[in-house]
Amino acid sequence: MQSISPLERMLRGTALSVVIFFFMFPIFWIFLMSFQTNETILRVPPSMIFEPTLTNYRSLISGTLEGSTATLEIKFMGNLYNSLFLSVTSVAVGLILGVPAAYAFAKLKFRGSEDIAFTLLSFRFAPPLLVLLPLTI
Amino acid sequence: MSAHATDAPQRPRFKISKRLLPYVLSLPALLVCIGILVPFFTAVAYSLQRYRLSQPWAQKYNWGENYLNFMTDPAFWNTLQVSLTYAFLTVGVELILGLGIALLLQKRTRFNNFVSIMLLMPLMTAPALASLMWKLMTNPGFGILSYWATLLGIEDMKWASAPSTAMFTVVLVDVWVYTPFIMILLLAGLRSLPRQPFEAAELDGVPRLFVFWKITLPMLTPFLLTAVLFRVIESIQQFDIIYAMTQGGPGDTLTVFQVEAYLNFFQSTNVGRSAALLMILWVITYILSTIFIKNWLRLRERARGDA
Repeated sequence: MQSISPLERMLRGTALSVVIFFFMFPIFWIFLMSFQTNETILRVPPSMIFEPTLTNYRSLISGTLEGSTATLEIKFMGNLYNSLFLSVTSVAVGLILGVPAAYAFAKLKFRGSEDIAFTLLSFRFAPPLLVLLPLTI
Repeated sequence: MSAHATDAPQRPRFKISKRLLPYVLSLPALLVCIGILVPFFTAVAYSLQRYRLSQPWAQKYNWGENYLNFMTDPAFWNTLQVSLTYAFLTVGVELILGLGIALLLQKRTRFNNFVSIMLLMPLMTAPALASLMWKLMTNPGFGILSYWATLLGIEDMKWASAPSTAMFTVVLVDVWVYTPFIMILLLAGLRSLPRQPFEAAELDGVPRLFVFWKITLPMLTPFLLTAVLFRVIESIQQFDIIYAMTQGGPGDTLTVFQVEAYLNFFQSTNVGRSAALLMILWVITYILSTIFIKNWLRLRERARGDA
C-alpha cells in the first residue's frame, strides 16, 4: 500500500464520518423517538433532552396507548403475528420448492437446465402488482 | 433367489429415474411459477378490454385501444418520464455513493469491516418503514430535518408535499435504503480483485488516479453492471417508498408505473388502463432482466473458466 499523506487521511476520515452520520442518524433519531411521549416528539425546536419512557413499548404489548386526550388502540401483536406467519410460510414453501430445484441445477447436468433456470429467474423480476391485481377481483 | 428376481427388473428403472431426477426435482418450483402465469394472462386479457369496476356491464374487448390511447395521453407520458427519472436519479446517485464508500472501506481492517456491517442497517429496514421514518424527520412542523433546513436559511421547506422537492425527498429515501446494497456488492468486488496489477503499478510509480481509471474500474465493471442492472429493475418498479411517502402526489409528480397502476385500479377503478400500464412496465423489466440474466450467466461462465 502506498503511504497516505496526513491531508488525505483527514479527508478520508471526514468523508467516512459524513457517510456514517447520514446512514446512522435516522435510525438513531427514531430510536430516541421511541422512548418519548407525543409531547416531547412534537416540540419545536427538536431536542435530544427528554425523560425516557417505556410507555410506547408497553403499549405495543398491552394493545392500548393512553394519550392526554384519547386512548389509542394498537394492534401490534396481531400485525407481528401476520408478519411472522407470512414470512415463515413463504420461506418454508420457498425452501421446499427451491432446495430440490437448486440441487438439480447445481449438481446434475441435464438438457435444458439453463433454460429452466432462466425461466425461473425471470419470474423474480416481474412487477408484483401485475400478478396481484387480477387476484383481487 | 427371490432377492435376485427383484433386483433384475429394478436396475433399468433406476437408470431412467436418474435421467429424470433433475426434471422431477425442478418440477415443483416450475409448476408454482407457471401458476403465476394464470393471473399474468388474466392481466393481459384485462389490458385489452374496456373494463371499469364502476361499470361492469360495459366490460368488453376493445383490443389495442388502451395502448393506443396512451399515445395521446399526457398522464401516461408523465408516468413514463417520472419512472425513468426516478430510476436514473436513484441508481446514479447510489452508484457514485456506493463506489465511493466501497473505496473508502476497501482496506481489510477490523474498523472498516465493522463500519461496512453497520452501514447495512438501512438495507434491513423495510422500505415502507424507512419512508415513515423519513416522514417523521421531514415533517414541516416538528421534523428535525425541517428544523435544520431553517437553520441553514431554507425557510418553509415542504419536502415530499411540495411538487418541487417531492422527487428529491423520495430519491433521498431510496438512496438511504439502497446505497448499502451497491456498497456491499462493490466492496466484495474490490476485495476479490487480483493483487498483481496493483502491485506492478505501484512498483512503476503509476499515479493513483490513473490506476483507478485504467485498472480498478475496468476490472470492477462486471460488478458495477450487476449492481446497476439489479437496481434499475427494482427502481423502475418502485412502489413502497413512493406510496408510503406521498401516494404518488402531490398531484401527479410521483406517479411511477406501479403507483399509477395501483391508483387507476383502486381509485379510478379503471382495470383496463391499469393492466395496460403494468404490461408496459413488464415489457421494460423483461428486457432489462433478460440482459441481467445473460450477463450473470456469462459472469458465472467466466468465473468457472478462471477456476
